[in-house]
Amino acid sequence: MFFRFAKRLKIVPALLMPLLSVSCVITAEEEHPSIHYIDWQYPPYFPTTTNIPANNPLSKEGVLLGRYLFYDTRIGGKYGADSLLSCASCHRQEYGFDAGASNARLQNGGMLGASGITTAHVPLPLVNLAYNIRGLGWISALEYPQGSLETFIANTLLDTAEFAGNRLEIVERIAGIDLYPPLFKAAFGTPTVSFDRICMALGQFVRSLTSSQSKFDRFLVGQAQLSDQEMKGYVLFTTEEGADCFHCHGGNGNLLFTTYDNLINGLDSPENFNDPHDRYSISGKASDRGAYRVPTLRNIAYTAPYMHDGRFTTLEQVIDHYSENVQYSPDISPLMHHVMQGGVQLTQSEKDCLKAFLLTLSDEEFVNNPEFSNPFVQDTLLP
Amino acid sequence: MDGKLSITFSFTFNNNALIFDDELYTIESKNAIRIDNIQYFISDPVFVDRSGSRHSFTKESNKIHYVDSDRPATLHWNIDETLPAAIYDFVEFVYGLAPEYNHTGMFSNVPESLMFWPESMGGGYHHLKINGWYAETAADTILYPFGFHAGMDNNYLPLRDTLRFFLADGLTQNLRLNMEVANWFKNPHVWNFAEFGGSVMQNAEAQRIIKENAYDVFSIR
Repeated sequence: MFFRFAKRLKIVPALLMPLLSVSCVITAEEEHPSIHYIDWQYPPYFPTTTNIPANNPLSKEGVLLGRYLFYDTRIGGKYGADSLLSCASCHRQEYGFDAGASNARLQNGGMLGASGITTAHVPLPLVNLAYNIRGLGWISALEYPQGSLETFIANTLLDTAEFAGNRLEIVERIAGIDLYPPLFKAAFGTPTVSFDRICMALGQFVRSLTSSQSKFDRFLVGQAQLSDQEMKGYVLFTTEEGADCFHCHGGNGNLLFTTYDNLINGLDSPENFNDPHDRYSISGKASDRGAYRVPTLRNIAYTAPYMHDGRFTTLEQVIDHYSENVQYSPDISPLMHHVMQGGVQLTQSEKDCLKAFLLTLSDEEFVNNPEFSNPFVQDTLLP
Repeated sequence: MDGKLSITFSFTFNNNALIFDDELYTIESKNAIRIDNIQYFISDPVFVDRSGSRHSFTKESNKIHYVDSDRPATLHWNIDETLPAAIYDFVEFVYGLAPEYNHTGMFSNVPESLMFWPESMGGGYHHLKINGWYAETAADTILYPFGFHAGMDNNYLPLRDTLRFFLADGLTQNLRLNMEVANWFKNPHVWNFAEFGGSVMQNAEAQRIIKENAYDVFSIR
């Protein structure tokens, strides 16, 4: 029973205050008897630690509220038709809660935000974020334990390149919609709409987006069998003299399929690299020039375009990169063992096998789960 | 009449504190290396007192410790279990994971879980990862990545070091376990990256050499 608290904190302990971003200082809500807290389920072989904060446990009502907010184009607090944007505009379920290569907002390696500015990078998929206890975003702009998903969400709503929102406008806009005060009351005990509560509810919904039913997951528990080609791809994935993917992208010992490390993966030679928004931009460490957070490969078939700038639109292009197009730089990740040869040098048959394995990471239940879908068009789950 | 222990983990190269990322070191083979990070396990610590009695911890969590140069919290181990107050003469531990712990699924959570050794190569966990860059000589301007990684059941190594210390009742004795990184590449086998390249997990000969070179890498003070 992960979430059964007799009493929840009502204030943030003074010692923790400096650790919280000024953009979203969240205090715990008083427990309400009608709130149905969710017993968190850990899928087989998944981590048993999460980033769920004590002051924002998942509840049935909180997740539902977060789901409505996630899909609501009024979340940015704006009224103009040209500024309507929802979380789902860039994180679409059918694309594993990534943008999708056909997304009209994809422009120049970023996403077109509410104010007409393009983000620095393409989105990352929202999947299994409850288990991410490292960093959030392509450059780990917020890192646990100082950062939190709630703060990341707050920053997203306020960022001029994304929602370009204003706290007061967002709260007024949401509070003015008849739908919401009852949902806030159900989720938090009172109908008060606040910016912090909006971020908390969104955090609950996003954390609920667990993907653990891929063919590979079922293979590990004996419910599915990989084909010969998929199995060969799995072996390639997890061997240094094969495709050498596992140190950064996991495998049977790391079902998140990422380490969340910030690494240089040889996309560009130093002379051709010019992104001012890399990991170096926040770490100031010279060896972080060109480094980005390792993305998950879970649901990789759905989450094109690939890399921080979306330069690759197909898995074949990604595999080709790691096979023969890796560019040397002095601080390239030490785990890129085969850079001297330009990559791992896979044959076409091996590339096909590797792709076949990567496709076993697709979780159809996840991308079709009605509990994650748009409640405004899918169904009505209002209490 | 019990005392406690804490252990600090350090890294040196030729007896000087190891500088990660920026410093270029020359190993015995004259290869030049730069080290990014180091991760390893120790397991089954045993403390032998003057009477020859062997003392170990009973909690499972005190039988294994993970050390990661990138995670400062792992570099200091406050052991929450007591040992009898006594004069101790020897410290024993296993470099890597002893076989009873080295099975797939032992660790669910990061950072330990990230040490997994793929099932396709035998399963379990890495005993050791040293990640860095190498060149055949210090004069070479291009350094290539290497992973000096060891794993599998038969590649752990029980070690014993002479260390006389007094554990006083009610007090905590601080020990330091140091890894002399230069020795991984020197004794008894001289390691040459030109021979082994940057990846060695599938090289049985390299795995044997890493194990045999481990014998004088660690010291406890």
